[in-house]
Formats: sequence, C-alpha cells, structure tokens
Amino acid sequence: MSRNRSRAYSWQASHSTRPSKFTYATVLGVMVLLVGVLMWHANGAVPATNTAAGVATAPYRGKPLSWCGSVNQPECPTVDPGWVTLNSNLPDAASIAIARAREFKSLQSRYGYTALDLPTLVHAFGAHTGIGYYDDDHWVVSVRNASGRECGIFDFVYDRANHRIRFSSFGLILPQDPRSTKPFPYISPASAMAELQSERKLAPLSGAQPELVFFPIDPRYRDPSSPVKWFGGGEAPDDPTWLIVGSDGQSYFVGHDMRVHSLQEVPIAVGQP
Amino acid sequence: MGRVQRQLLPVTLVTTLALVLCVLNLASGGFSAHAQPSVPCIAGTDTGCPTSGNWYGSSLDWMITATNDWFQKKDFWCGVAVIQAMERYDWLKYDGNASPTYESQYSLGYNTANHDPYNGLLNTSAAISPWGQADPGLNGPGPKFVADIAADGGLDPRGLAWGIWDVTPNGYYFHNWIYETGNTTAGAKSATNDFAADYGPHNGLNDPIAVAINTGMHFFVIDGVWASSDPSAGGDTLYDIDTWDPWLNQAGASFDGTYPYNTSINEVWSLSDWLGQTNQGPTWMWQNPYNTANKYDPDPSTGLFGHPGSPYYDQPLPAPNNQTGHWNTYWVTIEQDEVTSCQASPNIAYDQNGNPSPHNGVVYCP
Repeated sequence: MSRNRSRAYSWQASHSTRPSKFTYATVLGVMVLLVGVLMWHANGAVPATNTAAGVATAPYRGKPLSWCGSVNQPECPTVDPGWVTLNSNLPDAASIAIARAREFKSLQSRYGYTALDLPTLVHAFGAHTGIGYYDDDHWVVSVRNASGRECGIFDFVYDRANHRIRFSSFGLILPQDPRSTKPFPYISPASAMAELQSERKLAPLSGAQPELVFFPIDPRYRDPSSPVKWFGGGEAPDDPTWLIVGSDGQSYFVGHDMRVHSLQEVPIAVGQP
Repeated sequence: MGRVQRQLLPVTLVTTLALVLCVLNLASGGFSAHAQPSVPCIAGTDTGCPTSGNWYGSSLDWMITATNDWFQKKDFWCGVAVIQAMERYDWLKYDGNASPTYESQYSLGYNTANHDPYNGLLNTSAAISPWGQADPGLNGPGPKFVADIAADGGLDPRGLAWGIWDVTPNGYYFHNWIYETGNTTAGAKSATNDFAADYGPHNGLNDPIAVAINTGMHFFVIDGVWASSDPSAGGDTLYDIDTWDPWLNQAGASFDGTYPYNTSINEVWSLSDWLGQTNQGPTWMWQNPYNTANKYDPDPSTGLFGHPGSPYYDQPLPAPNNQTGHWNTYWVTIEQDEVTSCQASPNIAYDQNGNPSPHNGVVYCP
C-alpha cells in the first residue's frame, strides 16, 4: 500500500514539473515521426519480415513462414488446452461438457456430425508417466451424422482431480469402416467375458466388473520394422482393451484381436513411453 | 508555457496515441480478428465459451479420394504412400482428375534389389540425387531407395521431396523444409506455425504436406489446421492439427494389424497433444524432433566426392547457424512452395528463414 502511494506521489510530483518548450517540441516531433513510420508500414511499404519491427505478420520466403518463435519474433501464443468443467462422473454430464467444448463446435462443419452417442469412460492402466494424457482417464464418444451413421470418434482427457475435460483428438469414420455401424465401445463386455470363458475357461471374479483401459505402449512397438507386434488394442483411449479380473484373481485383457492376454503379455512402456 | 499550451500537451498526446493504436489495428487486420472471450468456458452455459477457430486447409473430399488406395503396402513405404496421396490430390486440384495415369505405390516403390518385379520411379536413375546415392549401411539400415541420400530405413526427406515434385503437375514446387528452431516445446511450436502458415486465404497454397513424426520414423500427411485467424497472414493462435496416417486405410484397418500411431486414417489432434508438451500429450508426434540415434533415420551420407558446396554436402556445419547435422535435432517437413529460382530444385532444402539449409553461402544449382 505504501509503495503504491509512494509511486503515485512520485508521478504527481514529476507531472507537476512544467515542461520546457524544447521538451514539448521534441515529444510532438517523435510522435509525428512514429505515426508516419507506422502508416508507411500499414500501407505495405515495408515487406513483412521477422525483424524486430514487431508487426505479427507471416514473412514470405517462397512460402509463408511462422510469425512467431524465431529470432527477433514475438513468442508464439501459449497453448490453451481448452478445459471444460465437468462436475459429475456420469456419462450424461460428460455429454453436456463435450458438446460445449470448443472443438466439438469447430469441427462440426467439416465432419457433419449432428448427435453424440453415450460417452464411455476409459481408464488409464499402469501409467505413472507424469504425462496427463497417459495418467488420466479419458472420455470417449462416437458421433453420428444426419442419417444416423457413426461418422467420427472424440477422445477427451479427463482431469478427475480438477473436475474438467479437454479435447485430445477426433477420428474420422468413413462408411466402409465397420465402426460406422455401431457406437463406441465396439466390443461389448459380454463378448469379452465370453472370450475369457472360451479361451481360459474362466469366469469374471465375483463382483468385479470389466473395465475399458488403455496404456502407454512400449515405444519399440512403434518401430515400423519391429519383429514384435501388438494386435491386442489398448494403445490408445479410442482403441481400448477390456480388463477383466478372472475367477483366479489374475488380470486378463481382451482387445480388438478378440484374444485373451495376460498382464505379462501386454507391452506397457516402462517409464516414459 | 501558457495555460492553453499546458492543456494542449495532454490532448496532443492522447490524440497521437489514439492515432497510433488505430494504425496498429489496421496493420494487424483489425481488433476483431484476434478477439477471444476472456472468460473461461463453464459447463452449464454456452455463452463466453471460446471456439477453436476456423478451418484453414485442404478439401476433405479430395483428401478422401487421394487416400483411397492407402494403407502403405510395405512397412517402410510410408513415404511412398505419402507421395501417392499428394500426387492424386494435386492433380485433382490442377485439372479435376484429367491427369496422367496415377502412380501406384508399386510403380513408385518397387525395387528389383528387393526381388520386386521391376524398379519403381524411386529406384530409377532419374531419382538419383546430383551428388549420388547414399552410402549403404553408413549409420543406418538403408538406403532402401536410390532416391535416398541417407542410409535411411525408408524413404528419406530428399527422396520424398524429389518424388512428390516429380509426380505432381508442372508448376508445383516442393522442398524439404528443415526448421532449426530448437529441440524444445517452444521450438516445436514455432515450427508448427511454420508449416501451418501454408494454410489460409491470404498467402496459403492450401495443399497437403508431409511431416516427419516420432523422430523421423514415420510420415504423416497434414492438410490443414484450426486457428483463430488466417495462419498464412500471421498473428493467429493455433488450436488443432489435421493429420492423415498412411499406416491405415479408409476402413480403419492397418497394413499389419497394429495401431502404433493414429486409430483413424484422418485424425485431428489438439495442439497440446501434437506438441506432446510436458505433462500434456502423447510422446510420439512432435514432442521430439528428427533423431539420427533412432537407427532408422541417419543424416545424409552422399557427396563425399561429389559437389562441394551443395547443401547436403556441407553437413555437419558449425557455422553460420551452428548446425550439428542436416536433419538431426530439427523439425522436418516436405511442403509445397513458390521457390522458382535456380534453387527451385527439390534437391535443395530450406530453413525457417527460407535460406538453403544447411548453407555456407554456396548454393548448388543444377
């Protein structure tokens, strides 16, 4: 408080000093010069460059280039994740929040969806990466066009601790894609449990419900020529795998290959993926 | 100074400042172009929620046509599939499909050295760089194509730039752009703005481009962005990046049954996730730049006895930009541009300032 007051006093004190004619003329001259330079610039007399001139236009060097982030350019704008508040864990609440996310509106004109299916919670499994995308649960929802066909799938990161979601990705689903005829998730829990029964002769542990999960995949599986391949899903929230605790107390996974995998077979990244 | 003069001074200052602000506003395209609501988006009300701006980019219908033969046909053919799609898109744009016979992935990528039935375009003598082919096995498992200048495990950025240029219409120029903006989130963001500036009505060509991801191990096609205003004019805020993954086809299937990258052929990613910022998004898009240590994407290995002064010859260069490699540690794309001088050759790469890269003042013009 006293510091502010001191500053105010100081400003008033200096303001009360009468400027000389020379000061007046100098200030006026500088202002006129500044206006002249800016008008010249605005009229395009100076080509857009990445110099310290500070005008945020894209320089053209055979193609337009970034107006920010390089030497003598302003910093690029801070990335705003676009968080939307979500006060409930219920799918209906997620629907409302997703429909109000900025990307849901902005992407609509390009992809033509008109309705949401029911959002599904996909849990992060075994991830302690320090990266929100892998450590947080996700809300995933398919969307339909005017003819009722599924035409896309949204993935939102769910920051449960702070009661909010943010857009992560949207995938286009074309008519020839089998996903265009059914809502997410594409494998029912009943099918997954039936596979566990068929392959391992196991029922789910009493009281345990199947859960959709995803995990950060071991980066060696992203090597295009890798001799080791993973077909079991779970590497992305919108391609999850069912986690079922069997009657033997062990965890089993059933993904888009419709095979039952034990925990030891799942290629979860160690440390950061 | 008299009373009138003392009153005139603040009036003059205020008027001048207002005029300055007005001119600044005109220069930046008007206040409304960048205005964003300052209130957070609160569930329960639509008012005040920001949007992720508008679409700036290519035609979705043409992209669907251009990718209708995807996925990539071999594990190291992502670049081949990218050339195929960009050829089809650009001919659609050029003359609405009344084009020469489209290349198939096979007619582009076949190699008799790999027991294929014939040599595709990328394995013909026309594809060889002016400074020769890559030295086999030097720091990498390749070269896999004679168009490569590096012992790359697939098609390297030079091979990709040459291939796209060769199959697209006359007047379509493509170059390898190497953004030396730093191995940081800020550097990735600046480079993202560099390629995003290809889109928009002001100066954008609005055609698909190729972008190396996952340290160079894979190529995506990018065909546009969502932004607050025209990225080709500048001053915009980016929100989302539109990606096309040659690993997948339009039925959602992958060439080998795995899904290491996208889960849909066309996937829109938030900028947060594209950049893979710390504590934010996935790690496999642009969290990390081109990295020769990944064992599949070495720097060029040609020109040792070729053309001194050629851009690819002069790596690594300590000066003038302190380059430590050609592609290594930088953000790598192949973009359409209007560089039409003697440097129009697709053999020349450019940096974030539009200079031949890496450069030492001598530019090789074939």
